[in-house]
Formats: sequence, structure tokens, C-alpha cells
Amino acid sequence: MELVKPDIGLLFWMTTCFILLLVLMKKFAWGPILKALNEREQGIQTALDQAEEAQKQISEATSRVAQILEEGKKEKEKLIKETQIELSEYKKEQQSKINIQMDAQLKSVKDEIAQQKRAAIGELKNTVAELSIDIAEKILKKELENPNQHNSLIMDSVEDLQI
Amino acid sequence: MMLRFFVGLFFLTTIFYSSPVFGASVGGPGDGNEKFQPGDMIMHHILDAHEWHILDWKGHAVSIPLPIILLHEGKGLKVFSSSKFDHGKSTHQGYKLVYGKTTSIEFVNEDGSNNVAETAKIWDFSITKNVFSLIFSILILLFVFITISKRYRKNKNKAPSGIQSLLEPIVIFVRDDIAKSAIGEKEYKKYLPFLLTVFFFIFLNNLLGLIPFFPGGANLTGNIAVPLVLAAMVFIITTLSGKKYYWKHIFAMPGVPKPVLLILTPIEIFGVFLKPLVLMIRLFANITAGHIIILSFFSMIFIFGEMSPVAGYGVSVFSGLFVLFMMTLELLVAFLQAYVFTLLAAMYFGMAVEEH
Repeated sequence: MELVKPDIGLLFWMTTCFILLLVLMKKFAWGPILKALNEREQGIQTALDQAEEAQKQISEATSRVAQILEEGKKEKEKLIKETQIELSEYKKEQQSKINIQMDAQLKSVKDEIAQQKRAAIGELKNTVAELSIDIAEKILKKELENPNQHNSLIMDSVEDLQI
Repeated sequence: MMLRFFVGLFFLTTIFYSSPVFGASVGGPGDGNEKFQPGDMIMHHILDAHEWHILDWKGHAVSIPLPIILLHEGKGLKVFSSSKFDHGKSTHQGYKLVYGKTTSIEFVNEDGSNNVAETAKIWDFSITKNVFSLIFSILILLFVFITISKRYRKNKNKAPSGIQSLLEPIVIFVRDDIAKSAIGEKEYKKYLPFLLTVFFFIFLNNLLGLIPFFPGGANLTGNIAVPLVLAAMVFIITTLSGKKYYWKHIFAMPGVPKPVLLILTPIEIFGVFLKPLVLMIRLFANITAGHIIILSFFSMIFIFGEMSPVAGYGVSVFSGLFVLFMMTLELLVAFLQAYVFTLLAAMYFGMAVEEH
């Protein structure tokens, strides 16, 4: 029966030593070990979360870049179109401006020509009248006393010339 | 397991049948011509002793002396080395080392006969083989785990290395698969240091018990006192942490008619004590049985060797192979018993703190 009869000495040592072991292990071993394990697990978890977050941000950024590129492309096409339209409008406008200007110039040139022509004609008329007067004077000096009668007579005849 | 059971049963009966022989032969060292007694040899190995017997050399026992500490009522505390007994041949201050299945200390009269009245007053607190092994294993545990905890503090948030990475999975296993799953997320932290200590204490001592020579080989976890203390602690912790729900289920199981309670309540109360008792017996029986089987195989060599040396050599091959097989199995058992003890303790704690 020695097998199942606990020995007082071993009972005493087992109780005291085990309690001592428990206290020492709790304070110096399990405390720090479990704390460190916990912290490391939390650290790993946070790192994983952060990595996931970063992944998400990267994919978001990538999609945003693609979006921006797409928008840029559209903008470019729009700008080109607008510019083309503007350019053709501008061309038309310029063309019409030039036309108007040219018309105006042409008109003023024509007017001047007409004016010059009229002036020349007027002058010519006067010169002819004077010449006629001179001629008539010289002719009628001997025949007429009143030069004014002669003058109007000549003027009438000049008007009748119809140049 | 079946094989183990039958082999164990066979050798246990052998031991009991041969028990009259125990008394006749003291198994003490010095008398080399007597017949080999497997029962004596096995009991000597699995029980405690006041000296660490290593071998017999030319009829003399070679052993490591251990301190004898006696509290003798009326005579005070006596501390001396077990070498003073000279393997039971001489007395020291009236004390004599008596070899039986285990060694015990008697107070003897002048004529050398046992003084029963005085012997009854001796409280033996000697550092026996098992106590030595206990202290040795505790020192190993403290050294290893305090070293590791320092490394945790130094290598904060870094991958484990060396012995740290060897033991970390086991610590996490005890934490997650034993404590957390059996007690629950809320309460497990309180019980974790106890469970971890119990687990590694049992595991290490089971393994030390498998080492056949000094400083291993003591059958510490297979000595009834050790599982007894561990189970008693489990009982005390369970009882102290029992909540209303736990006690209600013991004294007045809800939903059970009153007349049935008259039968059920005594059974439940009995169960409170039975649980740690079973815990104790399981560990004790498993480890002791393992030791007995291995020693039995060794004994066969000498039993056959006494018939004829050739038979002894022949059997030694098979015995050796069987011992190798058993040792491997015992490695598994060493872990398994530590696991089972810790798991059941955790489950008892879990039941005590359960709330609804």
C-alpha cells in the first residue's frame, strides 16, 4: 500500500515548493510572457489592418488616377473641338472684317474718284466758261456794250453743251 | 492502449502474488547472492527513497546521499546527510534507515530494535529522491521561463528565437486551446498562470521520470502525493471561484422535481469531491503504470538470465525493443497526461465561473 499512501514529507515539500513556483512563475515568467505575446499579437493585427488600409488607399488612388486621366482626355478632346470651332469662327470673322474693310476702301476710292471727277468737270466747266467768255469777249468786244449779257448768253450755250 | 492495459494488469498481478517475497527480501544493497525479485526492483524504482541509488558495484551500493530532515517531537529538528546511515548498516543519533519497498526512518533502542513509540513521533521532512527531483524540476522551470521572459522583454515585438520559439507554441496552445476554450474569453486570464504552471510542471516531471539515470528517473508525478497536492489545489480554486449558477446546479438542479433532488443532490455533492479525486488517480495511475511496464520488460531480461545466460541475452533483444516502444509511447503519455490534467482543471474552473 506504499504506492497509494502519501508521504508527509513529500506532501509538505510539494505544497510549499509548488506554491512558491506558482508565485515566482506568475510574477517573473507568465506575466511578462503573456503580456509580450498579447502585445505582439495586437501589433501584428494592427500591422495587418494598416496593410489592408494601405492596399485600399492604393487601389482607391489608382482608380482616381485612372479617373483623372479619363477626365483629362475628355477635357483635351473638348478643348481641341472648341479651339477648332473658335478658329473657324475667327477665320470667318476675320474674312468678313477684311471684306468689309475692302468694301469700305473700295467705296471711298470710288467716291474720291467720283468727287475728283466732278471737281475736274466743274473746273473744266469753269475753265471752258472763262475761256468762252474770253473768246466771246474778244469776239463781242467790238459788238456788245454789256458784257453781262454776253456772259449769260455764253453760260446758256455752255449748259447746252451737256458734257 | 489495450496491449498496455493487459501488460500492466499482468505485471500488477505478478507483483501482488509475489508480495510475500517483498517482506523476506529487503532488497537492500550488499547481499548480492539472493534471487532477483522483479517486484522489489520495480517498487524500489517507483517509490521514494532517502538516497539516490545509482548502481551496485562489487556488492557495494553506489548512491548519492541526500539530506535527512527530521522533526522529532520533543527532540527538535535534526538535519544530517543520509550517508551517515551507511546504507542502513549503522545508526545515527538513534535513527536507522530501514529498507522496505521504500526506505523509512525508525528510532531504535539501544539493542537495535524499533522503538515504536518514538518512531511515531518522527515527522520526516527529508529531501528524498522525489523531493530532490521536485526542487530540481522547479529550478529548471524557473530558469527556462525566466530566461524566456527576459528575451520577450528584450526582443519586444520581434519573432521568437531559440528555446523561446520551442515553448511559445505550447504556451499559446495552453492559453488558446485549454484556458480560453474551456473557461471562456471573459474569465480565463485569472486562471492562466496556474494552468500554465501545472501543465509545464507535469510535463517536465513526466519527461524527467523517463530519463533512466540521475538527475531523472524519480517517479514524481506517479507518486500519489504530487497529484494529490495538484488536485487539491484544483479543488480549492474551483470551490473558491464557484458562482451562484454553479452552486445552484449542485444543491438544487433547476427543473428537477423535489423528490428526485433528494437523490440528485447527494450525487452532485459527491461529484464535487470525485472530480479532483479522479484527476489525481488518472495522473498517478498512468505515470506509475508506464514506469511499471518499462521496468517489467527490463526485469524479464534478468528473470530469463537467471535460468540461463543465453536466454537472458536472447530476451534482452526483445525486451529492449519493447522498452523502446514503451518509451516512445510514454513520451506521448507524458504530454497527454499534462494536457488532460490541465484541460480537466480548466473545465472545472469553467464550470465554476459559468453564468447564465
